[in-house]
Amino acid sequence: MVATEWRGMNTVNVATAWHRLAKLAKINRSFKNKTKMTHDPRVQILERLALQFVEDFDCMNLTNVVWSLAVLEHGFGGPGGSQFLNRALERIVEAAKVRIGPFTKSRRLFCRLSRVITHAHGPKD
Amino acid sequence: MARKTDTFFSSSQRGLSQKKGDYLVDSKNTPSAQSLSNLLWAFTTMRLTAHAGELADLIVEVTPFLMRGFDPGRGTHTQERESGAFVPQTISNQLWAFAVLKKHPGDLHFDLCGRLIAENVLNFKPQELTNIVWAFCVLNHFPGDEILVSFEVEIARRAVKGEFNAQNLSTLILALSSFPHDDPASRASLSLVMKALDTDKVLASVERFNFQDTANALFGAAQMVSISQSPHSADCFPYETDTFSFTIRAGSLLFFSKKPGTTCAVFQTPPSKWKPRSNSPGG
Repeated sequence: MVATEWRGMNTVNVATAWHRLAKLAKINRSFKNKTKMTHDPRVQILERLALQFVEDFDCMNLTNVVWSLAVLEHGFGGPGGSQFLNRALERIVEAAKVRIGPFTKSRRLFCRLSRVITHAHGPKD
Repeated sequence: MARKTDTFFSSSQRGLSQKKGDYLVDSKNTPSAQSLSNLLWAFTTMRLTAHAGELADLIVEVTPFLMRGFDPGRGTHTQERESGAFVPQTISNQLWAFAVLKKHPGDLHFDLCGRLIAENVLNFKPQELTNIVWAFCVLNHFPGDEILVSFEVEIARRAVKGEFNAQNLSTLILALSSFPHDDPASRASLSLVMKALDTDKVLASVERFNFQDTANALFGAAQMVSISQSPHSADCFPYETDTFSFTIRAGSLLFFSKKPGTTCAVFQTPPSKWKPRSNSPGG
């Protein structure tokens, strides 16, 4: 299906395809043949699409693709792999930090104040 | 047992953390607890230590309020896991990764996790419990007597039921024996573990030990014996079963098998390489 329909695949389809591959590899260990996978044109299509969609994947899709690569013990052929993984990590960290920003600041302030108070009122040697 | 998450933060912080926790659990465009933990597992498994290290720092930052969304009952079915909630598997994988990376997340983080696990220890699977205890041991973090007792009592209970496989069992014996047992309660719970080792289902697992498992288990058992021979030994006992016995002589462990035709083994130093199997999050 990837070989024939790849032009119509969106982010969800690509992430799902990687995920299904990983699930298959978990069931059937012989499926996880590194040499075969690297040279399989369908896998190469999926690699290209993953790289193409790296800015468009939502967090769950990104996680699923990275998880699948780990299960499949598969690095992309060439520099594409590290490019994809670097960007995936950056996007996840950015997304998480946007949400936790205000909380982190107030927590840091709270911890700093706690240290000051403990220092000021702690037991004297 | 009071949760630290409830007492560490002001009411406004708790409100905020609840709100953010909900975001992290529910939103598809924000990494959920499950996503972060799976990513950390993936980067650690791929040996991308720089990536994993960066993610680990982020996880330490967000964990206090991810815990607000902790759901100990979830994780059995795939559909439930997809909700992305903070579940036992998440916490176990997270600590496993920290241990593999040899990255101590800080006392506060470990203590928060330790308390959460102790409160919900019944919900953790044998592999998860093993990874957690191993992580505490590898990162040299003593969880405290109260938490250690809850771990040991639960491990003893499940060992008797035969829930641990050979590798889990040997890892647990070695890890538990590395913690100080100065408190009478923890020595009593260690005795429970030692007694559990002498039951049919555990001995059946021992039969399946490979060399690494045997070395780990023996070294751990020797440590346990040395704990029991400490000045606090009154509530423990020297270790001897129907099939084998341990003695410590001049700092070495002598292991005597009572099976006909076998001799003893001597161990002087801890086995150098031991680590539990990675617990793949299942996607």
